[in-house]
Amino acid sequence: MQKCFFAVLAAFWLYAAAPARAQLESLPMLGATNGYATNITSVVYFEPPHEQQVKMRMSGAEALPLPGALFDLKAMRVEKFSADGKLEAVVEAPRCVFAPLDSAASSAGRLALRSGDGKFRVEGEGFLWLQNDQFLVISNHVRTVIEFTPAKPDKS
Amino acid sequence: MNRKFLLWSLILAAAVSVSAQLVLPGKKGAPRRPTQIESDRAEFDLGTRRAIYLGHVKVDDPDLRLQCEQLTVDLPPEGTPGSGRPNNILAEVNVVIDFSYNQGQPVHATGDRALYHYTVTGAVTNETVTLTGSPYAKVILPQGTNTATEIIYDCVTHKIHAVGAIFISKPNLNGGTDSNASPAKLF
Repeated sequence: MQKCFFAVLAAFWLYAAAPARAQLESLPMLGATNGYATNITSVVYFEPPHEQQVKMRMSGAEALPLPGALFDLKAMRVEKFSADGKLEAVVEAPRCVFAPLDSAASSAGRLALRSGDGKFRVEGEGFLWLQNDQFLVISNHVRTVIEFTPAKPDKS
Repeated sequence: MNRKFLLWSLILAAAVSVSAQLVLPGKKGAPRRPTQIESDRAEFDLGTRRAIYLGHVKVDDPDLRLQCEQLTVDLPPEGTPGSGRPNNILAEVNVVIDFSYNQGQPVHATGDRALYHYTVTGAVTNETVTLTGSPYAKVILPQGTNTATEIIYDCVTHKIHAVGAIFISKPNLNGGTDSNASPAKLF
């Protein structure tokens, strides 16, 4: 009997939480400046006893402050790791606007998300992440690809 | 009886049943083609642990194709038993499921909604799939068309309960190739 793919849908939105959280925790670094920044990277660590392990790493090619306490991020990339260092998810957006005061991130552009092993991928155009509500919307052309792992062949 | 089980196992269980593990029964030969899901929009609410695919939802899987206008997946509260697997999966509005069974026989199922529900209470597992339609959910096989207002498939006992059942058989106008073809009465 076929195992079904729907379980993966649920897994997706667990992953989906990662990027915006990382942004939220990382971007106060940028908020301290009014200037333009390039090649930014910020890291969030696990709570003890895994405080030496990276939980999330966010990077961006450029960060430009915008009016209204917003930031224009380019080439955003967020990586989420497990406590044992395994890559769990990667999220990439060519461009997005982050609003620290509202704890929101949005873009009319593309969002791509994939699991660490690459077997689960979601992409779409236009997204909104509301950190306080823990709510993510992908607005257009959402496409999910799931690669199932074949079961090990029977020994018989 | 065997046909009933096979049919609804495929239509319902295979279409909307879930597994906590992304592992499929191994098939010899070529690698399995990935499953693709397309929709106009998707919403993911981590607070309520709900995911919703909206608008022209299309699921393209090597074993079946599913279309609907809304697909909702619910996870139980974190920390509860079975919290890693959805307890509700609901396909709504113009639900269309196509697949092959029994050596390639095409099956076309339609309804207004298909609901998968999974709960574990103590040592008792309840796992059902309910296909409903207004006026009827419909299953079309080469051997005939089968309809009912509500069809409940128990994934645990593999029993089917139908409400408002109607059976309609028609000749196979396509000149079916199944030499064993006979009216497929579900209820």
